Amino acid sequence: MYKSVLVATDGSETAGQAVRVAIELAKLCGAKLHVANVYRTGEGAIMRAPGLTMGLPEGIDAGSVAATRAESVVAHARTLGVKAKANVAGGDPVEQIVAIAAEQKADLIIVGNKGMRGLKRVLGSVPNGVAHKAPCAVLIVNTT
Amino acid sequence: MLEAMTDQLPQIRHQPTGSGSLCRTILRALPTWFGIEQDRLEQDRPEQDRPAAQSAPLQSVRRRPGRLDMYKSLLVATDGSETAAEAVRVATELAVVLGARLHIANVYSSSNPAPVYAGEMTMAYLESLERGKFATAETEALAERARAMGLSAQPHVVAGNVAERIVEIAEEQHVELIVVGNKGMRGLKRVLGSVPNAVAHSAKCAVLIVNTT
Repeated sequence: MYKSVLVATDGSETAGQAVRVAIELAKLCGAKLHVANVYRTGEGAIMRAPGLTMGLPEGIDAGSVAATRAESVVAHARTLGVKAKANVAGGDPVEQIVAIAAEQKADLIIVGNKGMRGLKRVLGSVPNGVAHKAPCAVLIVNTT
Repeated sequence: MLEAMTDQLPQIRHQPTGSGSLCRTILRALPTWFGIEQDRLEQDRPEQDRPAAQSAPLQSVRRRPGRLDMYKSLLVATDGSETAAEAVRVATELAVVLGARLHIANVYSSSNPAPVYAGEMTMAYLESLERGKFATAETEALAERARAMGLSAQPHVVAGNVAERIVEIAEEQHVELIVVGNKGMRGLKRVLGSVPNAVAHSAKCAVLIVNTT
């Protein structure tokens, strides 16, 4: 029913759940899977890993880390028989995810729900932004 | 796949923090990052490591029944509007694909804020009774149509705050995925908060916002 599914990942655990759902759903629908990994650019660029926040060390740029992550998800999807493609971009996660979705004509965006409840809610989170701006359907996977 | 994963590790390990806990955190998280379950890793093991009984072609041994093992119970919210009809259409289709049970929830607003005059209050109450009857008939018809497609469908009609009731019903029925239309998600209404927004924020399960406008 969906022909082109986009999953947003940042390498976090919550995104891993979204990826798992996306791969199975893409397989069920016979859809193509677009794996989007958006890294933040500029001075404040930080690497996010579960449970910690730190600056990127010298010599490692956020772009190549993001590309490696996206590629490994793509490789995993392919071993499960799902057509997949990596999309890596730098900038604001919400804007870039929505832009990639429009570009790739995705008819479904899958995101984790990180930051959808509790305090962060007021601040606005990536899933919230995507749900509001997406040109297509949005599946918010409950991961927390 | 494993190569891609291990390629990543040296980069992470060589970070100048020297803290072993970082590595441990990352290593522990890796399978989840990539959505790998233990049984997937099993598949990647060389042939000779696996028991002889499993030496048949992988596909036939490991193939899933072709259905997602999550989202066995769906709830779609409808208010009889056109945008909701689209959500119902998507939810029905999805329930067929997933082999899931479908709950159809219609939440109508109960009587408006109490009017001053006794006469009007009665009117408002009668009106909400009418709305309830109408909603019941409508939702039963939707459920009937879903059953005609071979689905197991159950209608739920209640009065009250739409988003709150939807989330409540979802919890009661152990629903794993709520499907709603996106009415009011974009443009001006966004600031005011709409039903899909409230559901997305308060639901304890996954939420699919269908693009209907």
